[in-house]
Amino acid sequence: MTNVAKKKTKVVVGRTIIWLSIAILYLPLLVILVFSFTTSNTMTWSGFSTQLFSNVFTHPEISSALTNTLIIALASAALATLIGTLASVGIFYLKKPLKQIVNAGSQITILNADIVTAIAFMLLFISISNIGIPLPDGYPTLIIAHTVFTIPFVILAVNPKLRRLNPNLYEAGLDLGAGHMRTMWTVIFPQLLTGMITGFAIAFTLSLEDFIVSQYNKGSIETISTLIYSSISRGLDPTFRALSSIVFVTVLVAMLVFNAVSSQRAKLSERLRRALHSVK
Amino acid sequence: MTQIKKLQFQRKHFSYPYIVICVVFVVIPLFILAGYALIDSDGNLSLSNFVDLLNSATTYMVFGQTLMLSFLTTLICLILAYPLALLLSNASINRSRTIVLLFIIPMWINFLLRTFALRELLSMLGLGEGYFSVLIGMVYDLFPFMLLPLYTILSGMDKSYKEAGSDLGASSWQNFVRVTLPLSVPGIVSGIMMTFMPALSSFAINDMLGDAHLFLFGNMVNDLYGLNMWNYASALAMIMLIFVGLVMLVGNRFNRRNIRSLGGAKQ
Amino acid sequence: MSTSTIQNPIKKPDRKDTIIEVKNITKRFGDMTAVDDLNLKIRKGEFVTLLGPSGCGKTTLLRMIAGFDTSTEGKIYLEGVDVTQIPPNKRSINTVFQKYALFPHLNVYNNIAFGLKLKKIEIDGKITKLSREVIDQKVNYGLRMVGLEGYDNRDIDTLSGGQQQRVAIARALVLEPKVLLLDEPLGALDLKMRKEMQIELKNMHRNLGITFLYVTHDQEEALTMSDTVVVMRDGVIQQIGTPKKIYDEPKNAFVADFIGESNILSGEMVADYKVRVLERILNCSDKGFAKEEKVDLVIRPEDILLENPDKGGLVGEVIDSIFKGDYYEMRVVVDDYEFSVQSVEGSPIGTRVSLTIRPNGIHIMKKARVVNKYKALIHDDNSILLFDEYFECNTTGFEHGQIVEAEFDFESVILTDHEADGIIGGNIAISLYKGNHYQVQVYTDDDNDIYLNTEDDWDIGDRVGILVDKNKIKLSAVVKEDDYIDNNDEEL
Repeated sequence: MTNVAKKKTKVVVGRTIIWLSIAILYLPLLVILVFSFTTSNTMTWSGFSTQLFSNVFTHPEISSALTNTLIIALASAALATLIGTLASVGIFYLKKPLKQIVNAGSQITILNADIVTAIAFMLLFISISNIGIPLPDGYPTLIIAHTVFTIPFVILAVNPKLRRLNPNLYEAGLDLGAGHMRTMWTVIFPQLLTGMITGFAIAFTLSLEDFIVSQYNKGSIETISTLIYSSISRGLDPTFRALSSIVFVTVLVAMLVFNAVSSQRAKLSERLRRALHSVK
Repeated sequence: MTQIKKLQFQRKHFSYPYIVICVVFVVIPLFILAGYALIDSDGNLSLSNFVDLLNSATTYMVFGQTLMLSFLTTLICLILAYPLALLLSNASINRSRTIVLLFIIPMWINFLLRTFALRELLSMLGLGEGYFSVLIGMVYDLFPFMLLPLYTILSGMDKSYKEAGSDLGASSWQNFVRVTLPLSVPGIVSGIMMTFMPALSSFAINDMLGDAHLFLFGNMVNDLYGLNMWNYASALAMIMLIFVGLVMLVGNRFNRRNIRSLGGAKQ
Repeated sequence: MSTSTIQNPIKKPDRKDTIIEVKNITKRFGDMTAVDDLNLKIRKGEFVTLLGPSGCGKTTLLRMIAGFDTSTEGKIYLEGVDVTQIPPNKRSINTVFQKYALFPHLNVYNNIAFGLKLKKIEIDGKITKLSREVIDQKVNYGLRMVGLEGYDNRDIDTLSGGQQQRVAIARALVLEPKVLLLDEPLGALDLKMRKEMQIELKNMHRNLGITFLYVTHDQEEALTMSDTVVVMRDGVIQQIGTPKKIYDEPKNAFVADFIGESNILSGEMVADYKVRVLERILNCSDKGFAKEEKVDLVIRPEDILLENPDKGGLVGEVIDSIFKGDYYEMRVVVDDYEFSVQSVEGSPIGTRVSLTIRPNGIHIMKKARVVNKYKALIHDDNSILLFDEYFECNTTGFEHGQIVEAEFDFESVILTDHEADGIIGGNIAISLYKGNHYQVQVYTDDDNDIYLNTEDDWDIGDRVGILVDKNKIKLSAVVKEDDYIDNNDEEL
């Protein structure tokens, strides 16, 4: 009897700790959410208003930074997913020394301190323009940089799926008369799709999150990160509160809905599996 | 015959675009960085930038402060995240992946926005700018990077190991110390890497939450860059690069069996 | 304690009384019952095997005895002491796990020493740990016992499957458990290795005298190794007995089908020692059945003699004959029933033969169930509520809302490939080949069993839709008007 009681206490305490941690993690975001509904410059309540939310889309600097950030994130994540998936397949069939070298290259990119990466890119882009190749600062440099530093993450996301792939699938594609590119598109990519989606999501997030690499290579354009950083010294525009709240709520709702749908499906297949199991 | 075969397209050729990208955008830039670092103020090839940096007390102070802050951040993250990951991966306490997801969602919100939110909260709580606030900010920012690899390894651990442990006479505590903890080492190592590395180069959090006393490696590079002292900045970055390389080697040695868990870490 | 006195640090227990008793144990996972009100006694020193198809509850039972799972109801006794609530680390029972569960972070020596290092013993009234020397001796003894001397420092992942298996056995045995549990320990090994380990395990059991409780789905393994075999299905024990008894005298069609090869036929008892099958009367050695009672017959393939067709009786044609090394395996069709026959002398395909079976080669069993019968609710003039769905049938003579008994025979059930084509869905639980048809048991989604005869061979676990011929459903009034309840399984 005491055993059961002990177990129950353990479960209650454990769950309390989990929810407490979640509360602490979300507390700052909730404070911001509350204060997005008031317009004062500092965090004091000056009456309910939704003014800040409409400001997000009319404020010239913020709305253009938002557009820049999204375009760069989408473009670089798409490129990284394409190149990374191809690379993942290719690396799988590379022989020992070259394979290790390429993997080490990926590892350096992942683990290198952001600031070193940022400066290295900056110096590279300067050298490129110095030798007379036109490479304007802004979109081109940021999309290149973000693509390069997110590719290894796509490879990491695709690799586990690749390992589970039937090794004869590719041969079967070729055998049936499809070319290499066609086999890749019609046979291999669909099999790797979940890994590619994960890879895209990671690349997209890392691009959104990035501050240091963008800061050093942005040229004259601003992303959300660089804009926030540059406006810290002159006091942060209260519109950022509404922006954080929009991002926060959107992400929260999207993730929870997505998760609810997929867990529903998981539950269904679990029930089926159990039913099968019980008769075998 | 073999000649023709060599010219034919093979699957491994799919990696060639990436290899070219790696060479042009990862390897060459590091050489350029090294080049800048080895050119002194007069435009000559020399080690003088390094000598100057290594002779300056500021460098040591900055490195010391940065390492200390990164170390404390990582340690606190580990101490907080490990028990939480244990709870989250315990089937009788939590079966829901949604709960785990709740810990990751803040990662999708720009870390500067999060830090900004935290600053507002801390000032409401009466905590002004300073070392302690920076530390809280760093932990708040990097916590999920520690939690995820730990959760991944603990939730993926075959429960028969724990059952075997208790079958052989281990109490829950002995089971934790002798079975769960050693088996989770790859997750711990990858969590430390994922937390410690970004901590080393962070400076924006210090700018937002710190006072003038704390001067980090990132701040130093950033300032040198701002002052157009690119050669010094590059030399400093080179030192950091060598340091990162060393940490990577040590980490790989620890993790030889399980480098793949790095992949698990980010998912 | 001097070294020379320790030759076998593992003591040999006396073979006598009960060591494990399982009393009315039930284990439910959610709405699924894995073990159903089960009773079992195991004697000291016995080699007992739990045998059954996967999902029959054998592993769940083992896990409850080990202490990894707690029973929903019932008690488990170890040497007369109730251990139901005792955690696994406080039971002197050790387990060899299905996939070994060797600790990958420890080498061979430390894996085997794991339990020894935790062990506390009493010396002169003081509780102490085992000394280094004693641990050393025991580990070395364990290594020697499983033939792995000199492997002390090897990493687990450098060992072959068979070697890992041996480490797992040594790790459990050095603790001198009262009972050793083995959960399909040979499942991951190849055939040759498995045969070798079977012999070694049997020898270890003989030498150590520890009680072994072994779980497997491999009937051959169970028959060759055990003193006692416990055949399980759906969380219920079907039969307990020596391997010979289980093989020779299976208690029901399930056991007969599961253990060894067999011909299972339907027949009727004409009188004591006389059974009608395939419209012929055969002599058998069973009595005590009602006249014309429907029964199942089990005839082992090796109990059938092939003789000259002039002898009459079961005359048929050999349609298949394969040489298996030391005997021929043949198929002989008599009327439309296909017999499987094993004989040292083969008859070529196409030969006409007479099948002769000695009376004690025919084993007669009570028929599991002869008709499907469930409680149902009259819905309207032409439908009833059965298994929570509406089935069409003629309901004249009954009132709406009345509870009745609906009965339909094995021929009136039709299975459909697509679940949606049937009125209710279910999974194929059992498919027994009865020579000219299959007797299939379907497990419906609301936990009922439906039996049917079909020409088709369905795979176990297949999802199917179920239809019932509306003209064949017979309704009868239920005398006592109790509530409409979900039907539980009729007894086998």
